[in-house]
Amino acid sequence: MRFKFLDFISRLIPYTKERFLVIDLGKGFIKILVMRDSQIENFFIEKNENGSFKLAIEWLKKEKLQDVDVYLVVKGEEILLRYIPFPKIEKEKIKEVFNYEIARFIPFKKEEIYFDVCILEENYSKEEFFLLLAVAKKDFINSLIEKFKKEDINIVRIIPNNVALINLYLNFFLKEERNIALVDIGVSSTLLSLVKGKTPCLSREIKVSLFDLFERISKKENIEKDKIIDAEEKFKEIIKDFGWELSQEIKNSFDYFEINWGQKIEKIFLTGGGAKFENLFEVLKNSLDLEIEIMNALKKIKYYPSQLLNFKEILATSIGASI
Amino acid sequence: MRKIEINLYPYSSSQKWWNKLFVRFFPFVFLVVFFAIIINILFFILTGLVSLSLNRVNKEWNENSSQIKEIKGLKKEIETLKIKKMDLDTLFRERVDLSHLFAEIYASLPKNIWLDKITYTDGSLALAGYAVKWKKDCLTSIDSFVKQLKRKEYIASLFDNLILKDTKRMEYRGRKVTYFVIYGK
Repeated sequence: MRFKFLDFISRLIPYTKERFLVIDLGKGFIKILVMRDSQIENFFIEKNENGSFKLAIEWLKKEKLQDVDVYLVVKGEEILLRYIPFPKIEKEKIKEVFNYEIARFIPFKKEEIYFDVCILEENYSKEEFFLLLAVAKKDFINSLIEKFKKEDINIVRIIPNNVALINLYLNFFLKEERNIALVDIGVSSTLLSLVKGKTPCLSREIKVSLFDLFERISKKENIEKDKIIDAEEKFKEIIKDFGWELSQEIKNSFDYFEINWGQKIEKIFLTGGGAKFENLFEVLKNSLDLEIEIMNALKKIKYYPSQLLNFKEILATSIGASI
Repeated sequence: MRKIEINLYPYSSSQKWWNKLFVRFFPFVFLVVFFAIIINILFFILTGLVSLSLNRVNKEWNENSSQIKEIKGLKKEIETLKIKKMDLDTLFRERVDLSHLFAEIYASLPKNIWLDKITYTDGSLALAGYAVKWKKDCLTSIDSFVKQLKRKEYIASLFDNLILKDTKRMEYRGRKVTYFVIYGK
């Protein structure tokens, strides 16, 4: 009661930080976080099945949140991240200049994409910046915008999952400058980002995902996805094979990093639904022979509903996007 | 804090800047206006209450003004009468025959008593003097002097009461005397 009253009063004062929503339409779960001033005021998490999006919209309407600005977290084949050195120019004009140059860096036509750039390192070399170029297919973005527009929901930001994850690391987990890997094992794909010191330098989406693991398990035994985590020991061998396959993909990227940057990855931060599997954690740890830490994204959040602790592994990208 | 700013949303915010400002500041402005109205209403009620009691006081004032005028008139009259009384007192005092008074004092004075100071102010008389022992004791002589004064007709008409107010034994030029003060009003 007291909280609600103070909340009501604080909404009447214009200089308090505004509320916003982070919506992550993951293949496994739809996640909505209601954020204000580094706090999670409310949340909606539902398995992504038929009609879940409608449920999410109904929840937003019920909570009277349709008018609140939305940060949308996206991932998929339609999103591409490129890390590129680029000649130094005026920072304000960088996007404008990039408009002419972009075709050089992407496998899509210029007319088919939306893009944004961010300077990661101003003094990459004497004459170059080090940039992050994010590209998304217009069709994909437009379909998402259209989907939300129909429900009168106001999107203000669209953030790639990998960028959200990197921001989470840079803000919550960066203690010393080490070369680390961020691995988000999701249902549709696994996201991998490598950070050299405090500069991200590689992001990719690995096709090996929890979906493959579930497929393999369901071929062996007809079991609901939710129950796999409880019967983990029963499927130890399948998880081991899956983990081995995933670790090979990750290792390829580590090798690429080593060749290009001449340094080794020292630690892995693990997140996503895959981080719940203890056996998978062990397989990755043994096969990659590196220190692995499971990212608890809620660690630096001042206030959050306690029920969210059950979902702490799958909130990394949503919380990262709120930063 | 380091943040990678990437936004793939292709349009600038759909909300106009003035709309955003309106949405942001409306609750605050509403709150201020609301409180201003409340304060205004409170002051209005307060003013009404004050003017009501003022009207009541005015009404009572008007109703009682004749009596107040009367009281004022009476007060003025009292003042005038006081002045008159003072004048009459002065006149009365002036009518005291000092030579007659002194003659009667002299006639009453025993041989062993002599006066040092006679004071007559605002209708009261003070006689200060010395008594020396001769045939009679000093105090007896003073007492008989007071009795003599009281018997005098003119003195008795002027002063209702004559009393021996003070006595003191002392030496005067080597002789033992008694100093006294007789007071009459």
